[in-house]
Amino acid sequence: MGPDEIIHQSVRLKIMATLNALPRAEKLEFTRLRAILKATDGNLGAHIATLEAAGYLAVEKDFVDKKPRTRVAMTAAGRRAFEAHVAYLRALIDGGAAEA
Amino acid sequence: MSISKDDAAQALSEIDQARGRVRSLAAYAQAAPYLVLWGIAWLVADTAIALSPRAFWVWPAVIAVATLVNVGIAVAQAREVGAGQTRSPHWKALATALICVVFLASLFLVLSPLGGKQIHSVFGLFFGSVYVVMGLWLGWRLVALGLALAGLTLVAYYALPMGGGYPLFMGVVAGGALIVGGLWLRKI
Repeated sequence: MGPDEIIHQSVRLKIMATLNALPRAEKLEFTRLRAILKATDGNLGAHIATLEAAGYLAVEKDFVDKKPRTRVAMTAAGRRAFEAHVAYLRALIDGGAAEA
Repeated sequence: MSISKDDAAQALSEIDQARGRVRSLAAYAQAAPYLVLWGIAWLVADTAIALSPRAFWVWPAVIAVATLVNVGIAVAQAREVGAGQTRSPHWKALATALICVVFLASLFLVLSPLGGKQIHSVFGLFFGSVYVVMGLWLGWRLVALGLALAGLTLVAYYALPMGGGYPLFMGVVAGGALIVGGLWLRKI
């Protein structure tokens, strides 16, 4: 088992950690995630696109009161990948995994 | 890809911080409507007493109405969370409310007779302290809100005479602080 290169990047790790802390299948609005992570629109959008392309996130766009709304949620595959990555990090610290 | 032990420790620390932030946000979102509700109750009841000092019946009536609304909010939140989710079970919230009621009733019984100003102050100081303690576990905004509420209560107790000015101050400033605080918690 090795590190997940997609997840390990700092901003993507924070995105995944935040979504993983939500109750299962709960969606988070893009603007709220941006406020939590203190990220810019462009930076956050690019990393969400990377995670979506990997199948780790599902992005849903709709309109509320004629205003566009973007919500993101972690997929089952994303949750598994995140948990595996965290397990790898813990094993590395405990000495059970070789430094990559 | 190279990950050292230090990198791994840093990543795990970031994950813990993210978990803490989400827990705070969930607590803020859950607490906000209750703060606004009881802020409005405080504002309405004390303003009525300030305008008509004999209207002491207003407080029990307002508490009864606010309690019903409070239960409605709790039920709506429980439905929104849904079955099988990980937030605190509903009975714990009800038990907490019951403990607060029993504690305050016992306190008033032991310390009686108390004047209206002292009873008011006990409520302000008690709930201010509750918010501070909750905030230590859930997020600094609740600490700030609790300190503001307790501080305003003490200022009013020592600076204002028990007349129209005191209930009006408590209603507008302390009740207003809860309303503003609730809106502040929602705005994240």
